[in-house]
Amino acid sequence: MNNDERRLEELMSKMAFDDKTDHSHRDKLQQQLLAAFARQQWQQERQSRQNGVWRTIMQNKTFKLAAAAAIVITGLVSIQLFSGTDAYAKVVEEIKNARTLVYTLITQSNQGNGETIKTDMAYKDPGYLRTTTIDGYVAIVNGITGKMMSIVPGVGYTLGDLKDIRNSGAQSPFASLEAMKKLPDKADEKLGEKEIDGVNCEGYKVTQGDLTTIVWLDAKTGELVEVEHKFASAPGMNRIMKNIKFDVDLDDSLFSLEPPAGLQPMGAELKGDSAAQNEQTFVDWLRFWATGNVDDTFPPMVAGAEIAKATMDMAKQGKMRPEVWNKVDQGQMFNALLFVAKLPQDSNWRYAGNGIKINTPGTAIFWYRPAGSQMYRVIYADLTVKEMTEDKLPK
Amino acid sequence: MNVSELSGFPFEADPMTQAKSDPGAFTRLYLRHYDAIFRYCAHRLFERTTAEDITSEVFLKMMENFQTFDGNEMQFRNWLYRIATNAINEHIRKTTRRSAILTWVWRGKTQDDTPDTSAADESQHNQAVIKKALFLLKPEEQAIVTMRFFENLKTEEIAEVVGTTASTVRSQLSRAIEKLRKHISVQPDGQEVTL
Repeated sequence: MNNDERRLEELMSKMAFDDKTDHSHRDKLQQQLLAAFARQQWQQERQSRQNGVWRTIMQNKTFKLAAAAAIVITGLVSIQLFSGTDAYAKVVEEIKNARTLVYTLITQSNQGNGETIKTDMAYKDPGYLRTTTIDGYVAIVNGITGKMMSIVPGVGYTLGDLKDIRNSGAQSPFASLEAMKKLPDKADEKLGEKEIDGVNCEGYKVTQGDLTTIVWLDAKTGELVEVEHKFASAPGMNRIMKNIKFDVDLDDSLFSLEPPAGLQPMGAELKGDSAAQNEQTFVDWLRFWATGNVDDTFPPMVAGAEIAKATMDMAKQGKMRPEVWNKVDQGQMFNALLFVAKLPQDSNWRYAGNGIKINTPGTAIFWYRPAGSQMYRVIYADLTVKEMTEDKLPK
Repeated sequence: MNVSELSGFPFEADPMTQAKSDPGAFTRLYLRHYDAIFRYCAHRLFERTTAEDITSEVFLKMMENFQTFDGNEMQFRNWLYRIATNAINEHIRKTTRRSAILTWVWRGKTQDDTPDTSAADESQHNQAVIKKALFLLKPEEQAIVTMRFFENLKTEEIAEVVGTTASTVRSQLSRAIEKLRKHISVQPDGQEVTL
């Protein structure tokens, strides 16, 4: 470098630019790219009916079993994410008339280390739903027939039947969407201003029983910016909806339950069994997981899409014990996770098993309050269960 | 600079192959390069909104050919710079942005011809001079100067971005600096500039 270059470099190094990254732009672009990525993968899958990568991966039997497990979990994501999530106030009219709705859902879990899960949601009248996690795990639900399909990209798919959930009286994936349409036109309280992604917003608060909804609107334009959900009975399990758009053009193929070409079915159609969705099934599944990995630890979480990814990651890392996973029972897993998915908000369930080894003495890993009971049921790391009052619960 | 030093992210084993099939790996790859590309656009255009628009254009364009891209992460970064350079040059040629930006960067001087006295004003004046001088270069020359001095790319890396040899880049850089020198008078202490 000569003297001129050095002087120029010195001068230029002192220049000020408006070049600080705006996370809002970065995140929006990220979503666009992931949507394009998913479309490309989908097209590739359609084009390659039997691609070599899939064949290679699936030669590993343990991986295949783990994939089957991930498929089960992914299928449940649509249920868990839709329980009590959707509501906003000022845009009630838009919601009532909307034929399609897309948004990004951010869930802040109180499980494990309080992981945040980001999922793209797409809803289309009269009752179609598609969820896509940031890692590309897809769940599609037909709310009319109760049929569903879950897909792990590049690996496989499985079909399922959610009629059991609808008949059980538990919240269906669409119940909250319907509830949202019944929101009052007028909010209970107008909140102060807050900046969200660089936009100055005004908040409107609506309380409906356990659920508090805060709708944030652009203070200048009145456009919807964000919706926050907080549950009185489940502190820490907040949900945020962003990038909300109404009446965007959503092709029917996005909600098709036609198995993707090139992907293989992973196990039989999943059907829930209400009688088996109980604490004992859940305990059995916890035991299966903890004895099925080389670290002897419980799963990182018991709900949400991230557990599907964790399952796949552990399989890729060779952490699964083939002798245990050879005996995996998809039906049992489905029912175990449905047991958690169907626990109501006021059960105040908590999971604290992330990283805990099985049989660690005196360590509680899960607790919940059964419907109609004042006592909590607490599951310990040795998989014994005790009843106790709320004040005795682990902190 | 090696791949692991890019944006301070740790090196990931075979990230390109992984990113083609794993959305999580793809996201991590995107996040590793977003800042650098946005900054490059901002340094070329001096204007945030347009820089963001071009950044979006760059990554969406990249997406069109990502599955067939065959290279390591360093080559991927250079590829992004190449797309960005072409998009910015095209933008400058197609629009009246060049003259608009010139007006914008020069506004401080033309609106008030009274000599500045404070250090802050002097610094602002110097910056306007440099920005204007940069915009008097051809877009291709401005790209090379920006990559060299603001993004700290080596001449070999710039050569890969613009599709030429390192020696050609050095010649172009030398000519661009000569042009800049005609517009900017740099004092020996490197503190004062005039146009």
